[in-house]
Amino acid sequence: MFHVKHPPRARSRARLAGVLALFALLAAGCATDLGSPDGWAAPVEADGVVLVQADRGELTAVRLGDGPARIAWRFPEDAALPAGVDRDDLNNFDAFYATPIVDGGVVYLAAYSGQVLAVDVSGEGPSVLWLRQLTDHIIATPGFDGGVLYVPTESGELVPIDAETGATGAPVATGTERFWGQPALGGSAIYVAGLDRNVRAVDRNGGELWTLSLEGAVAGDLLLDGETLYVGALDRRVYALDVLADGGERWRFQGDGWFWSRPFLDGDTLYAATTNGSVYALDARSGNELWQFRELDGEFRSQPVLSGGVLVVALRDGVLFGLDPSTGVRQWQETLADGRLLSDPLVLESAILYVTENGKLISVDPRNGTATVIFEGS
Amino acid sequence: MLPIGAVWQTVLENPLINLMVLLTVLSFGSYGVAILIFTVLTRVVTFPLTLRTLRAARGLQEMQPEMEAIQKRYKDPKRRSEEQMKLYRRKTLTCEGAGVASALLGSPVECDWKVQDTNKDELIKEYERHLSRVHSVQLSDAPGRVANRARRSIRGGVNPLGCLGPQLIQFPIFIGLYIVIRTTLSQHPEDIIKLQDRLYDFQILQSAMPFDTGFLAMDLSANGNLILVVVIFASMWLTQRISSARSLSRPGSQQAQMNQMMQWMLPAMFGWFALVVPAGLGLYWAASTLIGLVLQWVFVGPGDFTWGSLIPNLVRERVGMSPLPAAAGAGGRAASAPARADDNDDETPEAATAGANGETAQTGETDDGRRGQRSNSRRRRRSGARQARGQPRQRRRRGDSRR
Repeated sequence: MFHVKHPPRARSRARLAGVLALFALLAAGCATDLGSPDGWAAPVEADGVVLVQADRGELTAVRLGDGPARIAWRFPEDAALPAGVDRDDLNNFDAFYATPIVDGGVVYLAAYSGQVLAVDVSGEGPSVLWLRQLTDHIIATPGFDGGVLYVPTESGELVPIDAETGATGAPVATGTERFWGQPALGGSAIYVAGLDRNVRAVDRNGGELWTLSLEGAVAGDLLLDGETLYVGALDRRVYALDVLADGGERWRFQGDGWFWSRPFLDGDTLYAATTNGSVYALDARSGNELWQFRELDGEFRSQPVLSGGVLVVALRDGVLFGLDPSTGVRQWQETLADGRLLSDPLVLESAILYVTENGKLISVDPRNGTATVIFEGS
Repeated sequence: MLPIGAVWQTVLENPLINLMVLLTVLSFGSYGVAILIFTVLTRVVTFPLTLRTLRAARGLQEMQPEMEAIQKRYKDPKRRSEEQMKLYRRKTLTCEGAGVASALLGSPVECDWKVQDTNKDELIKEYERHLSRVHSVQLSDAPGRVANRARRSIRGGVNPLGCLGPQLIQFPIFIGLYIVIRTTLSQHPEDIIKLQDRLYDFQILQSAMPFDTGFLAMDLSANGNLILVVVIFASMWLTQRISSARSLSRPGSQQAQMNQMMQWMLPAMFGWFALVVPAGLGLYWAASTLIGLVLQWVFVGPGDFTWGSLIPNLVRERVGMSPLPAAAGAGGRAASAPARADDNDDETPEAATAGANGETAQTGETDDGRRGQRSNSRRRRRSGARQARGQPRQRRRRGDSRR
């Protein structure tokens, strides 16, 4: 046989194949997809329209009705500007991670590129009231007490901004690392946690009330219920802290993955989802597990929500589940044809709205999981 | 994901990610320290290959005179290439063989084995005959490890691509590390979320993310750290400088020009590379290059490099120092080979190369070839005497051979 007669040739072919395989591997390695900041701002309802980040760094106001959804206006494209604000200042929003905060006819936005702005949406189109440029990126949704926005930044600062005028004050809390989760406000205290693994309580003037160190970083939003602060952490635990006892730990629960999404509290039951594809129902008073749902590998980043008596959760890969909130038994499952889900949903009266990574606004019927694309970004 | 991408992730990226996370945890959360530890580990694991590379590089350097003789002699590129390949095959690492004899005899043995242009199996048989005839020992009597090393060495000879081995092995690691650093130090939450899937199911790994990107006033996730660029450029330049001893190539020769170009091009290339990748990767490359420089210095030596040679002639003149000779002084070996080749146009290629290398031509021996043989025999005797006295070998300056 040819191969037997010419073993050196066979060897060189094997070497060549080896080299080609190596190059193929290298090419595959170089082609690894690393994302740019896309943002995961949740849709919000404001003055009769739903604001959606349909394109990166842009918001679209969608008017819902009986017929097909239609675009009311786009931001910043259609924005009216106050004196002193240049249009160029509005054209460099990288993305919106922070969910817009709605206060009557005014929406407060915080862009990844560090701009914080107030936009009046009560008229025909958006009108910028003020704009402040912070020096750091913003990922977390600001805390808002009706008069002041507390903006967490990537450098670990919590910057107070007057909602009326946009005047900034001195940072009221300083972490050693990034803040990615929304702070919680309660009474005169602000609770904030960051990637430096600390949960801090400060008063409105920046005075430290207490600090608690956790084993893992905190990337998700904090949830305050009365005197209990619920904290999901990347050490795969949920903590219930007593805010009146210097953050004393009431209980902790060990899950199977990172707790990144904001937990959902319904009465005495706390629903929390992990980036490992599990949903837990916990007794909010004791931390005892009531049930666990886990069927697929995948990440839950968006918040579980309860609507129409069904607990709805969405995997990042675009698979939606409707669960019985008392047992965790699956009632329905729906897979979106195209689109990944990272943002929190907006719960309306009879539907839940999700925005996919590629800018589609999807309405989900919580009773049966029927998903309808009601708007597509460009 | 394509299967090949999944293989890449499973086999290289994921283990690397988890290793880096573990090292970071063990380094009290410092990713920079983890990169440094990883660099040392990589260099330790690839040390045998590195050593082989250094030896191969030295072997190639020592062949330069013969190579230049061949280049000068043969105008036809095809014939020239054939002769060069013959030289590569013939130039075996005889000192490995001498090491076997030394181990068997219990005393140092000079590298005096003369080889022919023959196939590898014949080469080993010939070497066994040589050991038996000259040293009265058998290769089969040598300890298995020593004998095997000698066989491998003889089979391998001086491989012109030998220097590429460790680089080829490091290349996937380098690409993988690039992805790992970009992934683990990413500033974007979307990338961090993806990491959960890729971390092994241990609490110590899972709770370590995300990392602090700061290290020694550097942001390891940011591109374009100029300090690292300077360190990489300087250390690579120095590595190139000491690995391409100028005394072994004639000033103005093709090899000298090549060395000169590589000395500047390679550091410039990697300096540019360090400028456009995250500083974490630059830190790895800088540490790796510095370790390589130390290894080169310790195991091969600085060659003809001296710190004083860094002072340019312009400065030397002003401070009253003697100027540097062109190309740091070409050695006698380099100068003598082409001289002989020039002397006699009828000289066979074997004679030309063997004479330059200190080996006897096996065929077509000429007067010049015999002269070269006598000269080289004297050189070997002097070398043997020096070895016996424990003195280091000294390079002769240009013109010594004519005295």
